[in-house]
Amino acid sequence: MKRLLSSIGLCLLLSFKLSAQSDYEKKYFSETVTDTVKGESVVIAKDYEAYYVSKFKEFDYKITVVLRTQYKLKDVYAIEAFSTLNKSNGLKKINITQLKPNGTVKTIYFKEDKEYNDDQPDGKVKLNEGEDELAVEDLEIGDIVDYRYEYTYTTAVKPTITKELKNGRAYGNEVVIKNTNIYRNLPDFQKFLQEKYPVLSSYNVFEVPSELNLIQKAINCNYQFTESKSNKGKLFECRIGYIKAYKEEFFTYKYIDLPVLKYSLVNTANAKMQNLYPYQFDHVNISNEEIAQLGRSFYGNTKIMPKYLYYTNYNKDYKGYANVSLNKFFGAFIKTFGKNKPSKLEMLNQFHDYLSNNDDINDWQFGKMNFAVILARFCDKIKQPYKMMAAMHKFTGKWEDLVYPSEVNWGIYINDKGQELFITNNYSNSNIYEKFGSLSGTTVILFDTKNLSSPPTTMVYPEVSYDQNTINYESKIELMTDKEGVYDYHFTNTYTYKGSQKDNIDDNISGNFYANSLYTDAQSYGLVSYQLYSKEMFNDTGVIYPELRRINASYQSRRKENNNENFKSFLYSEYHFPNITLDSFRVIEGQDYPDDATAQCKFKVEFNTTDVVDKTANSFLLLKLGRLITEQLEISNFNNHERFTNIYNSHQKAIYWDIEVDLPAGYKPINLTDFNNNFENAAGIFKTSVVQDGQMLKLHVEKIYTTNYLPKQQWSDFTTFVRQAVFFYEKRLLLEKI
Amino acid sequence: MLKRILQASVLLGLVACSAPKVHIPYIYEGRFVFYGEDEVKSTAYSIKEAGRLSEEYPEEDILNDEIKITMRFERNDDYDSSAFDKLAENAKKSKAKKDKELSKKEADMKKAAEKILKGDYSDLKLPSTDEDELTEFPIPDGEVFTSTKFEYEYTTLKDFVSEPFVVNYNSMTNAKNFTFKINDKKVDLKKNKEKSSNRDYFKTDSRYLVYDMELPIRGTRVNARYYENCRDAKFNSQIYILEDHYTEKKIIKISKPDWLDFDIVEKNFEGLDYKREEVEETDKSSDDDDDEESSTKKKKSKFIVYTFKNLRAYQSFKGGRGPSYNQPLLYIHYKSVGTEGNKKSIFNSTDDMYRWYRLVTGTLQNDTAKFASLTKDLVKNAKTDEEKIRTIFYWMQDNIHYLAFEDGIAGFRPDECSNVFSKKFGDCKGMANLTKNMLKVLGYDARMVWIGTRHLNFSYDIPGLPVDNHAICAVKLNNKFVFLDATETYCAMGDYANRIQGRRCIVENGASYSVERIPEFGPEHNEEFTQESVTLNGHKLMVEGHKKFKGESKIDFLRSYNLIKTQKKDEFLFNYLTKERVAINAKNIVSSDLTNRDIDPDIKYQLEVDNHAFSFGNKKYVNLEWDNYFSGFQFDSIRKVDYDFGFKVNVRKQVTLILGTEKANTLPAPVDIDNEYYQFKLNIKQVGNTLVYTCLLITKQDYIPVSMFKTFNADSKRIGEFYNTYIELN
Repeated sequence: MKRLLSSIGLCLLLSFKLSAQSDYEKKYFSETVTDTVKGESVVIAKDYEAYYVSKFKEFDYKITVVLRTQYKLKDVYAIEAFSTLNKSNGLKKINITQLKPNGTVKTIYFKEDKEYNDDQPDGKVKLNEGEDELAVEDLEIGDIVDYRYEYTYTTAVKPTITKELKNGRAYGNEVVIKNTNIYRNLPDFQKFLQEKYPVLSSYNVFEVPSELNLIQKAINCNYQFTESKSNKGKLFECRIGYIKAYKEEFFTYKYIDLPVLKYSLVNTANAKMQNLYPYQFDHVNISNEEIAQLGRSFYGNTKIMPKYLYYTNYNKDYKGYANVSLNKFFGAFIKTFGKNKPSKLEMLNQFHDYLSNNDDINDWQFGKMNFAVILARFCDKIKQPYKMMAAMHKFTGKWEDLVYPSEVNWGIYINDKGQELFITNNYSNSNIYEKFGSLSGTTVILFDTKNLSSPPTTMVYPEVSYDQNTINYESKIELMTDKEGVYDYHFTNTYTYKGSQKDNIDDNISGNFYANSLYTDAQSYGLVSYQLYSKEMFNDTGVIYPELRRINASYQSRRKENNNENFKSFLYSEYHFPNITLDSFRVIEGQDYPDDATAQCKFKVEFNTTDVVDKTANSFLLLKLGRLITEQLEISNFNNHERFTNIYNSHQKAIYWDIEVDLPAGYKPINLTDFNNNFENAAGIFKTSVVQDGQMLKLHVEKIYTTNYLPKQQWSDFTTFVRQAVFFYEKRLLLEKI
Repeated sequence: MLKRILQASVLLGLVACSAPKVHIPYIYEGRFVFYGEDEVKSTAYSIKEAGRLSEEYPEEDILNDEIKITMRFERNDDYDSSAFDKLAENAKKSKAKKDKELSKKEADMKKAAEKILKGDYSDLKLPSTDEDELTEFPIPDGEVFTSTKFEYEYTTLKDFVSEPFVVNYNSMTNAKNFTFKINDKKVDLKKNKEKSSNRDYFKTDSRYLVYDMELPIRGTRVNARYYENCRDAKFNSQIYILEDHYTEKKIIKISKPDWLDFDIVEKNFEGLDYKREEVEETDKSSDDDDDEESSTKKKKSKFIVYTFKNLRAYQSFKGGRGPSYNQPLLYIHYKSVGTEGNKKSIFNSTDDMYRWYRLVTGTLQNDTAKFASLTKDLVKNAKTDEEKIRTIFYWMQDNIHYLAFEDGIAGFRPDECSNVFSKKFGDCKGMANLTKNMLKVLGYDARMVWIGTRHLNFSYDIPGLPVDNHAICAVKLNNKFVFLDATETYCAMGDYANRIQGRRCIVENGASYSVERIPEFGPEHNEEFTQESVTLNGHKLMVEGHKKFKGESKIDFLRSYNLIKTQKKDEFLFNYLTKERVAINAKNIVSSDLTNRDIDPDIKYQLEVDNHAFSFGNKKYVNLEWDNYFSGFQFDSIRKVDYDFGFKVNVRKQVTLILGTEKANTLPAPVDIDNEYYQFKLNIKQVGNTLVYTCLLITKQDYIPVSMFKTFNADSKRIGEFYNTYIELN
């Protein structure tokens, strides 16, 4: 601590010299702001964000970012929360001060990195990575903690990129990869105005050379940047008044319903400069033609589209990587996968699979646009008719609010004999047939890549109904023994997942469903299935040394042990039964994440538990019949209060349960009718029915999210629907001795 | 055998070099299984043997064959107790040295960075920046040094064992001269230095040396050896016996020089297979014990030797009382150093402990100028001494933030009271020191107090550094000590946190001291009382209730409530009452002033409870329990340590249900359990037209011993069955 104190003393002297503030900053922080906020632990008194942009060499810009926030501490919680602060070590300047209510100003921490390199390209060379924790001295209610930091970077593109590679995989030893994408980016923003704490006032500044412009859209608010002249070119300023604190809500897309400012710096200089900064619109209210034009320029402009694909090299020298031209790579790919004469769509699906799962090295350069361009080029190669597509997910915003191209989800559209494919993403477990609820009902823009004169067209992305995203639970629950009042049940559960639901398989289980692993081969420039190699290596005729085979068997057995633990965790998270003995787990269908539209992932678990029936202190028993549908999503009753945002569900879905459970011998159910429900409202359907068949109960349950949007006024519809299942889950069946 | 190995290596070579279509799965890469023939050679017999052992010890990945710890003492002829008076000077020197080293590192970094910026990535490994000094406040050397040699021999029982070799060190101890052999072949392992990730301390000098150890083939034998030196034996007085893995044999040898008087106390040794003997043998110093020639020149030395056999593995369990209660350990009670006629006490009695506390606190300035006027101002409206003391005590709780330091001498010596006041944070010692000095400003007889919390199973009967781990303040009020622990936020004056209740403590008194005891309260002190009146409305239970908290349950509740964001406080109360269950809704919540720690919090509320009542025919069924205290609380049969409840729990509940003309048919038999450790009484009876449910759950101690787990499990199950009970009404 002594050392820190002495450095603070030194820094106090330095701070006046080094912590130079712009006039804008000085003026803003000299203004008074009145705090009338009640019932909050912390308020943000002032929030300042400034970008000072200047020319850097011939074609680039240097950007100095100053971020400064003043937090006013209003109660004990705030003191606790701010008593220790983390400071990042990779910044150019950090200045944390404390303003006491009596006007005293104390420096908590000051640091200027004199070795900081202002000219670093696109990011920071962090010499001192990591964070340190500071204890803040003399913190009292009413104090303002003033946190200011600064960093600088340039738009210059790194000539090389380092990537960690190990035996061809993208980790391990560092290698240097040539950067073939040379275009530059100017900063763009999607600024969500609500913060963790209420903001009394904030001020955003851009000081830029005159050839740069700022385009903007205000969503759910009226704040705007205003333009004026400055000594260095142009000044864009935006003052924002009181913004209440963000209140976290479930099922929301906060960028749609809450105040957001979207803005972007754009280069309006000559064509050559614009060619270096191609990924921009220079105005808002973008037409479909302009979107198509941008997409075509990426497709056609060899300067900015990816030229090469890298492949992992298993050659004997273990250099790790190599690159070939797209055309050569496509050729090798087709040679490898064309042996079984797959259809063009199957081929395309394999290629999509490769790009989204196996191309570790290219991850860094696959923006959404590049991904789409490479798929389009591959379609050209295999002569698959297609159109390029631009789409916007609902959570991103609306077409009319578009400010910068990275908001667009680029892809390709294929209509193959009436089968419509919208290939928009590179999610690792997805395939080209999958459709996404977050695009349902939105407008997509389609355009031809080669026929430049054909105008773009639009179409509506199809609705994805709940019957395309389903889970089916089948449970056979047999009573094995009931010795000494302990009821031992054997469960045979079969789970079937379809559509988007199969991408949401529990983390403890999903490891059993692999994306297909493909690896490039050094000699053929083609791809091979890693799993095939693995099988080849360890089969009886494989060349591998027997000891390795034994180790592999041991590894597999250990993996199985770990998996068993995972399955038990999965079952516990489903039922919350403390005593579970796992019998078996088996994947029935879809081990390799099936790649056709109607495919499903199916697995079967068998286990025993003694937690189905509870004893009571009188002659009754309690059967946890509700619990057998497994844990349900809960929304606390406290959240019945005012809803601020509309309700968005990522996709409609349906969950079905068919459960058969034995009753203990000599007991009859009392409140069986409590388990019959028929609930339906605007949010969904929850239907349950139970019948007794001798000593067996047959329970059928349907829980269906019938919509993926409800206006906020219908929040109570949503919670009422969701809570039906929770009530059911908690219900117990009283059993009376016959 | 050799021939087979050669074949194998050739085959491996082929696999790796000339058949590119056969790939080694990356999961195996980087592990020494592929490094060469020796590793493969070792597997033939040992794999089979490991397979057998694996069946014998199914839970274990590793079997410790033999562990040997040899501890020697060395007298510090240069011991100088006045070094404690020069702590500030030492810190200055330490800082100067550190700054010099830092400058060099920065220069090296700059050089490396310049290379990178020029596109030269050949020297990507930047010099490490985090190898700073362990502490800026080193503790001076003690009277006696220790040097301990650690030798481990173990075998892997399963394939793919990935277990790093981890050694803890700090500013008092260093660990050096590591050697590792894998299957008798010397290996260099990657070493990492890591800071302690223990978030209990804001700043600590505790560090770890971590050697990566990947052992993919079962039956691999590992020999590890290193030396640990400690600059003061006082800091090296506990040796825990159990290891992370089952240990077939463990030998602990402790030298017994004539000039050092100490006892060894065996704690928690019940059930251990061990023998203790005293032997005399040729001593070999730590650094040259392999040097036969030099060892012949050594004289004979006495050793106390403990030999343990078949030690179970150490297991960590949540909610333990502290390792010294259940884990076997040797506690070295250092009494004195020197020979007859020239003996000097170390920790012969509590006098010596107090002497040590005086030594480390001797140079405190305790300048009160900074806070004298504020202190007086704070109490200007207080009329009695009690009010004044209370005001200061609560001001300390509310305004000084607790941050723990275990960093060199800062782990023992309180920060100056003026520093704690200025910084508004401190650890227990610093806070106790400021409390004391604020009270002294007001003219009270306030003292520093050293105390060991209930987590420590040590006492002043056998003094030593492990006995105390906390500091508080005591003030004389009406000729009696009142103890003030400012780290315990929301604790009223006169109340004491469970962790210090009943503990003896050393209270300073200039050159003298006294040993006092903190008052201890029974479970009645911590009562959480719930009274609820229920009416039946269809399938809903309508509840009017109130809850009252005392003692520890009050402190817990107030602390949780007050450390919640202002805007979340309503939600906190709602969730507390509804247990966050959708089937329970709460409304009309009214509470007493929850910032006032001098009154017992009282909350009035209404609940609507679903899923606890239904009707069938002309009968109704009702269940009156939704809190479920202790329900499902079961101890695992493998648990070997007592369970700490945190305090003596006292939950009392009375729920009444007004009936119409109905009569309760199936009332359960009452639960009435009373033993040395707990009392559980549950009853439901019909009194007139009222169904009365009473529940009393008391833990008479703040813990439950292992010996009671089986009984507790059965009783907890009985409570659960009682909670499950639906009463039939018709």
